[in-house]
Amino acid sequence: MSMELLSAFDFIDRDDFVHRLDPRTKLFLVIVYLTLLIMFRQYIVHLILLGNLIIWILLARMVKRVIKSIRGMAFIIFFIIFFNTLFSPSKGLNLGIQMTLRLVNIIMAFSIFFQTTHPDDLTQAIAKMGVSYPIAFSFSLAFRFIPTLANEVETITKAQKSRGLVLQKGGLFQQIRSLFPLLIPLITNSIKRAFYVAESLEARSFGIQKTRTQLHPVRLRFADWAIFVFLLVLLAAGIVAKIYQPQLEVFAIFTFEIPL
Amino acid sequence: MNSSPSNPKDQIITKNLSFVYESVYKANRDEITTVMNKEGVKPSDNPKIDKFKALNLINLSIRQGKFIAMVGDTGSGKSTLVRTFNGLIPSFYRGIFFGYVGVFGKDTIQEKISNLSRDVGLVFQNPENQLVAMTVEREIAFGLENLGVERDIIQDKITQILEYLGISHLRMRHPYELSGGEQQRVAIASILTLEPKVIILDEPTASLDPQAAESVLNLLEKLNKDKKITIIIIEHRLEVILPYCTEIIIVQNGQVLQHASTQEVLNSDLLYSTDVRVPKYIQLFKNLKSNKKYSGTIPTTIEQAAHNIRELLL
Amino acid sequence: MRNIRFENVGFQYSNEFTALSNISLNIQNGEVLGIMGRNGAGKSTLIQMMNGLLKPTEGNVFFDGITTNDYDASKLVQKIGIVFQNPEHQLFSSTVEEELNFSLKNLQISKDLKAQYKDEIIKELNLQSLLHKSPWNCSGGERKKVSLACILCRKPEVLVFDEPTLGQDKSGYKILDNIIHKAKERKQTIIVVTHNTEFAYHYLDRLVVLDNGRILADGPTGEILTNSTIHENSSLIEPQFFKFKKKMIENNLPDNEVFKLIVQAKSFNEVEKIIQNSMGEISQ
Repeated sequence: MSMELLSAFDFIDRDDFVHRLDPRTKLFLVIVYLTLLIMFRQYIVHLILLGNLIIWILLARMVKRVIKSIRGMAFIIFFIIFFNTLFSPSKGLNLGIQMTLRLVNIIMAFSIFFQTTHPDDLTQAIAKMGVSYPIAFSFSLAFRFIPTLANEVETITKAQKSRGLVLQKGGLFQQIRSLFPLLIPLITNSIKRAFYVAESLEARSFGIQKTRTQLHPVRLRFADWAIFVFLLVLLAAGIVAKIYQPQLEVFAIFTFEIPL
Repeated sequence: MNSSPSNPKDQIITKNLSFVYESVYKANRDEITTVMNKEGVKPSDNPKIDKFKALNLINLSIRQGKFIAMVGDTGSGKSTLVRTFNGLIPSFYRGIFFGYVGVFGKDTIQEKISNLSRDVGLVFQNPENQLVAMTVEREIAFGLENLGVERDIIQDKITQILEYLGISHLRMRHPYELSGGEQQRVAIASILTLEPKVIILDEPTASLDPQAAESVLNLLEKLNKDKKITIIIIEHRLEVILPYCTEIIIVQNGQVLQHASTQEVLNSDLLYSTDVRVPKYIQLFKNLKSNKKYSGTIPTTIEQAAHNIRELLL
Repeated sequence: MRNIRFENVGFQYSNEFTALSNISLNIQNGEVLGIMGRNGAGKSTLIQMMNGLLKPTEGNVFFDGITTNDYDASKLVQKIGIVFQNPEHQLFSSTVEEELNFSLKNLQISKDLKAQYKDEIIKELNLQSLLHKSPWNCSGGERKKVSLACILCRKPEVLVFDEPTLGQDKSGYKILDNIIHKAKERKQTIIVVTHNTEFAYHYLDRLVVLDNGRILADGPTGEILTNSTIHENSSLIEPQFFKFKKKMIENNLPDNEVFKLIVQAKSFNEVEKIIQNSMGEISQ
C-alpha cells in the first residue's frame, strides 16, 4: 500500500502541457490549493478544486497512476471515515468525507507537482527564486541518489541478515536497536559517497561562477502566466468567499452536507 | 626515471612531496608537535614523523602522452598521490603539505582545483559515485555548464563526445540504469568535455566484468593514441593493465619505489617484493632470467609469452 | 543430505524486472562450484535464493529436501553462509571484536560454544592484532578478512562467496586459498560467484554460467573454460594457461622434445620447471 502511494511522487518523464509548465507555476498551484483547503471544509469547494485537478490530471495523462495511488490510500480513507462516524454519529460521516476529500486534493496536487517536474528544473526554479545554486542543486542530488540509496539499503540488509541480523522481533526498543547495523553502514557509505560527489563537483568547477549555463533552461511562458492569473483569481475568490460567507445567502450552497 | 632537460610545462612534477592528512595530524597532534619543537628540524626531514605521512618525499616527473600504470599494496598512498595532481590535496583535503607539485607549470598550492582540473581529470573506482545528473546528457554537459559555456557549443560537444565514445544511444538514460561499463564511459565523457591533458583513473575496472574492462581499456588506449592524453591507471591486476602501459610507477608506504618503463620494472626485483600479484606467466620469465636461462624481453601478454618461449626453444 | 536444489525457479523483482527464469540446478553436498556470467546475469540473485534472502516467485528452492519458504529464516541463513562482496556494507561496530560478537549473537548455541567459535576464527585468520582496532581504521585487505571472519565464525554448512578475489593482493589471496583448502578438507559445499577464470580454473570443479537470467551452461570447469562460444555470451576470458597453450601450438608445431613436454604441462610452474631443466645457462 505504501509503495503504491509513494510512487505517486515519482517524476515521470513525459512531454505534455503540464510537463512543459514552469515549476514555479506548479508550485503556486500547490500553495493555492493548500491555502484554500485549509480555509474551507465544505463539499462544494473541495469538489470544485478536485474538478480542476482532474483537468490537470487528464492533461498530464496521469489517470492510471492517480487511480493506483488512490487505491494506495484506500485503507487510510476507510480508516478516516469509519472512525469519524464511530465517534460522532451525527456529524461524523460528513466530517470523515470532508477530511478525505481534503486529503485526496492535497495528495493529488503534490502528486501533479512531483510527477511533472524534473528535479533539475525544480533546482533551477528554486535558484531563480533567490536560493544560491549550490544549495538548490542539493535537492537535485538528493533525487538523483534515491534509487542508489534504496538499492544500498537492500544490499546492506541482506549482508547483515547473512551474519545473523534479525529484524522485527522483540519489543519496540529491541526492534529499534536491530536497525543500527543497517543505519550505520548506510550513513557511513553515504558520507563517503558525499566526499566522492564533492570531489567530482569541485573537479568540474561547480559553484565557480554565479552565472552558469543551463542546458535546458526553464522559462515562464504565456501558458504559465495565464495559469498564474487563473490561480490568483481562484485564491482571491476563496478569500472573498471566506470573508463574506456568513452574509451572503447565495453561498448557502457552501454548507451543503449529507443529511443524516 | 632519468630526465633529460625538459620543459616543466610539459609534465607533472613533484619535488620532495610529503603529506599528512589533517585527521591524522589532529589525532596525533601532541606527538607531532613535540617532535617538531624538540628536534627543531623541519618535520619533512624528520623520520619520526614518517609514520603519520600518507606521502613521504615523493619525487616524480611524468611526461605528457604516456600510458602509465600505478601499482602498489592497498593503502600504499596511490589514491592520495593522484589527488595531489589536481589540487584536491591540499585545497579540498587539508593537512600538512610539504614540497612542491607542479602540473604543467602550475603550482598546485596556488591554483584552484577548478583550474587544475582543466588539465587533470580524475575518474573514480565506482562511477556511480561521481555521476550527479539524472540523464547522461546533463551529466556530460555539467562541467561546461559550470564554466558558463554557451548552450549551442555544449550541445555540439555532447553529440561529438557521445559519438566518439559510442554511447549516443544512452543520451537520455538515467545513470542508475546503466551497466558498470556504460557508467564508466559516461564518467570519462563528462571529463573529456573539459579537454584535459591527463586522465587519471582509480581502479576503473574493479566493478566491471572482463569484457567491459577490456572495452574501457581499449577506449583509454584510443584516447592516448588519438588525442595524446596521458593516461594514469591505478590498478592492482597486472594482467589487465600490462598489455597497455608503457611505464609503471610502484608506490609503497607512501613512497615511490620505482618509476620506469614496463620492461625495466618487470626486469627489476622491486615489483616482486611488494604485495602485488604478478601473473604467473611473467613470474616464469623473471625466474628464468634470474637463473640465466633466458635473456630476452619479459612478455606483457600471453601471446608474447608463447612467442618468446617458441623463440627460446628453436 | 545437505544438497541444494532449484526446481524451475524464477525470480521477478517488484519493478517487474525478471532476474531469473527457468533455473533448475542440483548441488550435491561437498561440491565445489562456481557461478559465472556477465554483470546483471543474475548471479547474486541466484545465491541469495539459496539461503532464503530472496524467495522464488516461481518454482521452489530446496535445501535438504525442505523448501526455503518453509525454513525458519535465521536457521537457513546460518546453514548457508554468504560472504558478501563489500565489507563496507557490513561493518558498523567500534571494534573488530564487537563485529565478531555481533555475528555470533543470534546463533542458537551456548555461550561457551560461541566463545569457542570466536577463538577458533581469531586463530584461523590471525585476527589477534586487529581485535581492538576500529573497522574504519583497517585497511581494505583487513576489512575483507573481517567480513570473511564474520561469516566463517558461524560455521555454516555451505560456504558461498560473492566475488572473493576482487581487490585482493598476494596476502589476501593466500588467506582465501587457505580457507578454501580447509573447507575442501572438511568436505563442505563451496559456491563461488566470480568473474575470475584463473581462480575458477584452480579451485572450482564445476561451473554454472548464467546469461540473462538463464543457465547458459553447466558442467566441469575444464569443459566450460575451453568452450569459446560460452565465453562470448558471458563475458568470460579464457584462463591464461589455456590461452598460452593454444598460442604455443598455433601454426607449425616444431619437432622438439622440450616443446612436446611443454604442451603436455598442466601449469605455468610445470612449464618453468621443464625449461629450467632443459636449458643450459646462457652467457649474458
